[in-house]
Order: sequence, then structure tokens, then C-alpha cells
Amino acid sequence: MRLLVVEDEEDLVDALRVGLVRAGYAVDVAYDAPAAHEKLQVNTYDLVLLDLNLPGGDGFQLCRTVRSGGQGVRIIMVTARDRLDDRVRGLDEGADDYLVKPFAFPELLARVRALLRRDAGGGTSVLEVGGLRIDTARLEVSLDGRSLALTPKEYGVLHYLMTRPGHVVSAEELLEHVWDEHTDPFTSTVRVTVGNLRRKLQEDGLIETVISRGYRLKEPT
Amino acid sequence: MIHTIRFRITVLYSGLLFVLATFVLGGIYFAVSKTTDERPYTTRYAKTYNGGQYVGRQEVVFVEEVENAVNVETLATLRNYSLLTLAGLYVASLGIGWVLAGRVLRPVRSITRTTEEIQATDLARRIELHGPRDELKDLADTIDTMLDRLEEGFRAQRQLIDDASHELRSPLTIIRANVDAVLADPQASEEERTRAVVIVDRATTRMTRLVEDLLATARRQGTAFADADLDLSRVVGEACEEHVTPAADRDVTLVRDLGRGLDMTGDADALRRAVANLLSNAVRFSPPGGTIRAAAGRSDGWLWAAVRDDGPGLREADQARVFDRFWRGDSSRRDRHTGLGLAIVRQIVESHGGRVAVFSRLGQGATFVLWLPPRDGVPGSPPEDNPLA
Repeated sequence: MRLLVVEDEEDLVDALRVGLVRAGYAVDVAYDAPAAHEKLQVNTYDLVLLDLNLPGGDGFQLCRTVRSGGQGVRIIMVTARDRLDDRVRGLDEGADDYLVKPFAFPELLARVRALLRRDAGGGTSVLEVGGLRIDTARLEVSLDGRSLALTPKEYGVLHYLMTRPGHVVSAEELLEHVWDEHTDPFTSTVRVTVGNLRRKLQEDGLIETVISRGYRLKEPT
Repeated sequence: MIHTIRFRITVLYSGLLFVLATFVLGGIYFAVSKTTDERPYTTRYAKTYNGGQYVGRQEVVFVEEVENAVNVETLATLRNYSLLTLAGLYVASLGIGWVLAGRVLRPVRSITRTTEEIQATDLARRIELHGPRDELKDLADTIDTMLDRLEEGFRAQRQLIDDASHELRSPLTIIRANVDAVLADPQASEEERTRAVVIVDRATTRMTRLVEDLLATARRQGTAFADADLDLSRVVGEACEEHVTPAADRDVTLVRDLGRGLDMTGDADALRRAVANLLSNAVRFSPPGGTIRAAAGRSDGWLWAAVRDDGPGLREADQARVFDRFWRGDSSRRDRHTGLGLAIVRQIVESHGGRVAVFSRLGQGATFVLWLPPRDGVPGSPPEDNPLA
């Protein structure tokens, strides 16, 4: 899952990036409103963490623009503005959630997980497809009870596929949602990662290759 | 009830009226009784003749004796009616006094009711007493203006608390996120930890600075204002001393040009802090090899202290906001300043009856000027032009 952090405090961004990447997310950063706007136009994000007081623009305005552009991306407003009218306005402008600074990082992660699984049909932080089980809160993956040690990107790919079992997911889509903006779009990294993932799963055919279209996680029969 | 003004006014009013009426009626009674003394009239008998013919014996009295008797009777009637009237008047005056006092005091009740309803959290209400411009209307208007000032004071304080809590949240968030996401995570690498510690350190420094500046602002708002005679050029000179080393560290030259005999009354520590804030901004924004000019002098009867730098300057639009609390401009994303420095400068200068000004053009440095009144006072407002131009 790929997140955009819109925040002008570089010191805060550093910590968020470390924590979010470790939690298995691809993270892009925009330090001001115009940059955020541009990145939202160019890239596809699963979720945006949006500060309200931004250089070059207002977070409410940005949120409204995103929504009027028809983008259904999840938005969490993360801001020091704790007044009731700001919170109400934030949610009314199209934010999915509103988190007041200072926040506890585990809570931010939990809110991110909660919003992201809404797209996958709700449920808890544990996803199960057949014998595959992924605990997004603890970052634990197991297959038929046997726990697997995955790299962050392998975890990201598997998580993304598990939210769409039975659907064909293209390599570009995986690149868009699991890797951040610093990745070369022509790289073979997706193919390599999926290959490694298959080897770790030790079960052929769990991730099928659909020729010239992408990959598909086999649904349990 | 006995302790109400209404009761006391009523009793006083009817008491005075009663005493007055008693005097008037008593006076009349006394005057009348003076001319009348009770004498018995004597009855005599006289033989009556009608046309020389004896008619019989007839009872006769003297006219003045009868008059006297009538007077005595009238006097008694006067006394009785006077007493009755007095009693009636007393009762009536009590009633009238009660009603009149109530009418007069009605605005007071309205003032009391409104002020009772006004809480510290809701100072927006006013008495807004209608009616003629009398003493009570004056009182109500005075209370209203006092409420205006109170509301403004409370609003400013709430704003300060809002701003301060907002400003404190940012470094707190940074610390919290770094502790949660990096320092408390056993998987974090040594490099990540070292970085997080540096960031946390920076955030705590920022908070410390903010708290110090906020305390400085709060202190200036208080009345603890150590006024004494001072020489402005000496104050500026002392502030310069503190900044010689920081300026030299950044390869910036600090030039002093201080006039003489700039006597004024004020708080030397506060003014030194104001000049020092200007100087530390100048040092921060000056390019290496630049020059800072600190000067003090007298112009149009006003004293001034000014600091000029070769920094990036200010946009026209920013010049009006630069003294606002928590205004930062496009400062760096790291190592933020509190945004209180210039606000404190303005507060210090204005509490001395002076005025702050900034002259700048983008890319051509900035000059900050503090206008201050001299000891012997000065008429009018300070000049608008730049004394360092």
C-alpha cells in the first residue's frame, strides 16, 4: 500500500517515513500544497496523511480539490488544529479521518490499517485467503500455520494481492501501490519480488502469472 | 427588605414629608391657637321690648364671646383634621415613595440581572441600558466599556493560549513520533536511532525556546515594569556586545553607530532584549561576509534604535505581518524559530509608548526601527521615514 505524507515539518516526516516503511508501506512525501497536488495528479495513492497548515496552501482546500477531482483516495487529516469546528470541517471537506497532533504512532498505524481494509471489504487487521494468513497489525505472514519471513516489499506485494483475491493485478499496479516514487518505472523489481515471494511460499500456482496482464492470487476452492 | 435602598429611600422620603407636613400644620395650628383662648361665654338675661311693649325675658350673649367660642371649636376641628391628614399623608407617602423608588431603581435591577448573567466565558453580553442620559445610564455605559476591555483581554489571552498550544503541539508531535516509530522500535538501526535522537534534541530545544519566549510575553503583559532612567545608546551598545561573537562566527561584521545623550525612561533589560532579538534575527539572515549596522539616534524629538542587515529582505505583504505573533515567513522546515521574537519586540516597544517599523525590499536587506519617546516626553507620533536611509 502506498501512502502520501503531506507535512511541512521535515523532522516529523523523517520519523513517519521510518515508521511507515517499517510497517510495510511505500511512502512518498510532499512538503507543501502545490507538491502534494502534483503528486496526487501523477501517482496513485491508497491513502494520504494530510497536514492542514501548509506552505503554499491550505489542507482543506487541497482535500476539496482532490474530492472534486473525483479521486476516492483515503484521507486522514493529521493536524494540530483541535477545535471542534476544524474537525467537523475537515470531515465535511472529504477527509475519512481526523487525527489531532500530538498523536501516538501506533494509533496512526491502526487508523491507516482500518481505512485501508475498508477498500478490501472491512474485517479485522487479519486477512485470510485459503491457507494464507496475514496480520497487518503485527506484520506476520503464515501459510498453513507455517510462519514466513518476508521482506517489506514481498510483504507489500502479498498484502496487495490478498486484498484482491482472484483479480488480475498488473505489474504496473503493483509498482504503483507497493513501491514509492523513487523507483524506476522500467525496473524488473516487481518480477524479481514476485519470484522471491513464490519461492518463499513454496507452493506453485498460489500466485498465478496471467500472460501479458499480470498476477493473480488464487482464490480458495 | 430592610436593607434595600428602595426601603430606605421610601422611609426617608415619607419621614421627611411627614416632618415637613407636621411643621406646616403644627405652625398653622399654633398660630391660630395663639389668637384664640378658651373663654367661657356668659349667658345673661335681658328684658325684651317690642315697640315699647314688654315681650319677655330673653337669653343674650355678647358677639365677641360667641366668635371666640366658634374659634375654639374650629381650632379643635382643625387639630383633628390635621392629625387625620398627617396620618393619611404618611400612609400615602409610604406608598408613593415605594413606587417612586422602585421606578428610579429599575435600571439598577436590570444592571444587576445582566451582570449576574455575564460569565467569564461569555463576555459578549452588554447591559445596553435604554433611557435618558442620567447617572444610571452613565453607570451602565461605564460597565459596558469595562466589559469591552475585559472581553478584549480575555480574547487576547485565549488567542495566546490557542496559539501557544498549537505551537507546542508541533515539537511534541515530532518527539512523540520519533520515540514511537524509531526509538521504541527494537528493529531500528543504529543510524536511525542517532538521527532520531538529534531530531528529538532539536524539538526539545525548540520547545524550550518557545516556553521562554511565551514567559517573556506574559511577563511584559504584567505590571512588573522596572522603569528607570536609561541611555538608549548604552542599551543598544550592550545588546551589540552579546552579538559580536555570534556574528563573527558567521563571518558577519557588526558596525555600531550610536548617538549621545539619548535619555529616556524605561526598562533597560526589556529594551536590551528587544534590540537583541533584532540583532539575532539579523545575524541569522545575513549572508556570510555581510554587514549588520546597529544605530541609535534622535529624530524629530523621538529617539530611535535601528538594526539593518544585508539579508534576503521582506516582501511588501510580509512587512505588515512580520511583527505578528507566530509569523515565520518561509523559514526552513527544520530548526524553526518560535515566531515570537519580533512580537516580543513590538510588545516591549509599545509598552514604552513607542512604535516599531520595518523598511525592506526583497533581496536588499531589511531595517528594523524602534521609535521611543525621550524622557521629557514628545508631542505627536513618531516620524514615518527610515532614519538609516
